[in-house]
Amino acid sequence: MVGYRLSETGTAQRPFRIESISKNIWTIEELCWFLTTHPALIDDRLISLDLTRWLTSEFGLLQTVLKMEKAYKADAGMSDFLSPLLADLDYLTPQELRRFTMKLDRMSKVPVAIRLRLKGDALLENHCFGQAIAAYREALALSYGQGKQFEADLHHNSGTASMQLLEYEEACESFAKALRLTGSEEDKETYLTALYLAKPYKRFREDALALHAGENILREIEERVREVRTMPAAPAGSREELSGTLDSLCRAYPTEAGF
Amino acid sequence: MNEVRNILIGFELGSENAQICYFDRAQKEPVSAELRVGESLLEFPVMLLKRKGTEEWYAGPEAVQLLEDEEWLPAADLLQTAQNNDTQEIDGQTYSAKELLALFFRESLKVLGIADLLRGIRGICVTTEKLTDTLAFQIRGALMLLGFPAASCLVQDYEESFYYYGYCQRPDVSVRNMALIRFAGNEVSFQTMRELRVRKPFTVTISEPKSITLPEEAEERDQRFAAAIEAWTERGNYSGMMITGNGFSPSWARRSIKMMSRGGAKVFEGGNLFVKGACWAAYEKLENHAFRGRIYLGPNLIQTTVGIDIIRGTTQKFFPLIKPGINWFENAAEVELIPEQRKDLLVTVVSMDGTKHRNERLLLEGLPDRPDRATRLLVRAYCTSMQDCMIEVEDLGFGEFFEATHQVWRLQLPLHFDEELERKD
Repeated sequence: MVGYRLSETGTAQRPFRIESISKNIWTIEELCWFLTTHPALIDDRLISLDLTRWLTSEFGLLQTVLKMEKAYKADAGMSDFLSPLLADLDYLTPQELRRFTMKLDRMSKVPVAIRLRLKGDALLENHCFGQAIAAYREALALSYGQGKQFEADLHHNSGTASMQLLEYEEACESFAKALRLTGSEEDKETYLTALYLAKPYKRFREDALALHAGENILREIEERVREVRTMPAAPAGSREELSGTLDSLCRAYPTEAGF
Repeated sequence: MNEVRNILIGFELGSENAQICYFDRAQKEPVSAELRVGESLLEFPVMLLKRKGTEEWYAGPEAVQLLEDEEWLPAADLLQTAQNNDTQEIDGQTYSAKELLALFFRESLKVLGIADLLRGIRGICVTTEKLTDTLAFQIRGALMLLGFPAASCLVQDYEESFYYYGYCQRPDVSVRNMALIRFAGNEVSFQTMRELRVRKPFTVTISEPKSITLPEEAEERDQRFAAAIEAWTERGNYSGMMITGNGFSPSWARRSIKMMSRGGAKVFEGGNLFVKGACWAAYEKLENHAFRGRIYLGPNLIQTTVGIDIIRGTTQKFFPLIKPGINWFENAAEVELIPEQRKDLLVTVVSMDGTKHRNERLLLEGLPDRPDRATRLLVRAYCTSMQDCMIEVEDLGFGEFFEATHQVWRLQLPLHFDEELERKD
């Protein structure tokens, strides 16, 4: 619905900490927004009596908390626990709530490796690169049966996270693993771009030759990086340079899967 | 004093004398502050004194006596200074009108014996005879200078105090017209308060004063006054007559009282009508809210609504920011909004009778692109005069997820309707 929502519940005296993304939540609106846009990051800290105690002490939401605690004690699941919060405060319409609970239910039924991948992607989006890499590693360990593309995506995204941490060796290794799995032109280009940024030019040319990369691709990579480097806020070796070059390299899990 | 917290104060700021009362919730009515223990002294001079060479100030019942002491220096006419927005030099230092008024209020309120004014007082309504824009700003500004939040600082003229006083009496007093009869020695004025009950909200008006000069001699005085009452109350459709000021006494007004009581009107006489009316106003506006369905159409009252449509669940509801029936200098609101698929603020201006409306749009240029429902906007609305209001919007970001830019956008809106404005819709 297009319009404005009135913020009526105020700001907490003490925030609720979301450890996974190292951020504090100060208002109900922030909490509801986080829950509905980052379902992959809903963990035991959020589905807990810590949350209900915080809601009671900071906002006095006694009726809503009673329903949440009833669901918690009955071990009813994430969607039953969170629904009262999202419905009672009119944050979601009945239709939106139905869609959200269906999403949570779907997520709870997919293999752990996929859940971990979704978590890693959400962490990457929130610039929690170290935690994202940890989630991808965990997913890789459990990824048997998910297919080569899935594994390659995990390596790819892990590489992106490593680049953001300026861990070039690890990044190049991850991109190389992705390329070995798929052999795709896209993964080749990603690997070579990382090499260009991370390694001496000679090594970059040697590896490009070994991969039979065409001159066109090499020129494109060099030009793209040069363009980014000419921007005042993106000197060579900076995070801004990386962002400019690798900005769209995080591969999201397919949206048609319902997440 | 029976109240110890959340105290509601009425403060009459006359040209020469002031009065204070507080709302006693046990008695359910305003009670005058005891200025001297055991004495029924209600008034004290509007006089502010400073002790030479110190930061000690005084305002209260002993001001006149202290004035005789050379140690104490007086501030000149406080009301006039405020009216003219002047400054005064006292003891080698210059003080603005607002500062002097603030000191006067602070020192006067000590008579209530409240240890911490800000913690103890929930709201204070100051009433004065004639309220101009400047005076309203000065009085509210002085109270806010003391630390009271804007919403707790109310100000109104005597007529509005009469309105609150009248309609907070027993229902049989306000069932028909009410009269305000003011004595100033031999001068008497008469005003009628009427309620029009054609459509909701019922509107209340107070007529312009009619006045006469009474002779000194008692019998003639009574005769003349009774005749004036008969003429002023033509059809006698009055349920309450309220007399205030100096110059009336039941001892000479036997015929007049009979005339006033005809038709069953209740007659009241007292010197604290306005201060009690101010206290009733504080109680009504800040706590009781029983005057729904009734609006006093005073000269400072806004008669337009300015608001926004907000989402509640699956529906939209109109949320007023500027409300009719509130003096323009008190008419303000501050809310926080979470926009959904919008990068502008759309406000609707509606006439009091609901027959005219128009939309006004404030484009929030430069507001960063953020995901839906991940922006918090602070919206402030306040009247700048009887004719206009200002809408301000400030970007507050979204907690630790999206940093605030604190960019502010402004829109000045006319509160009136004319053909040209209506065509904007």
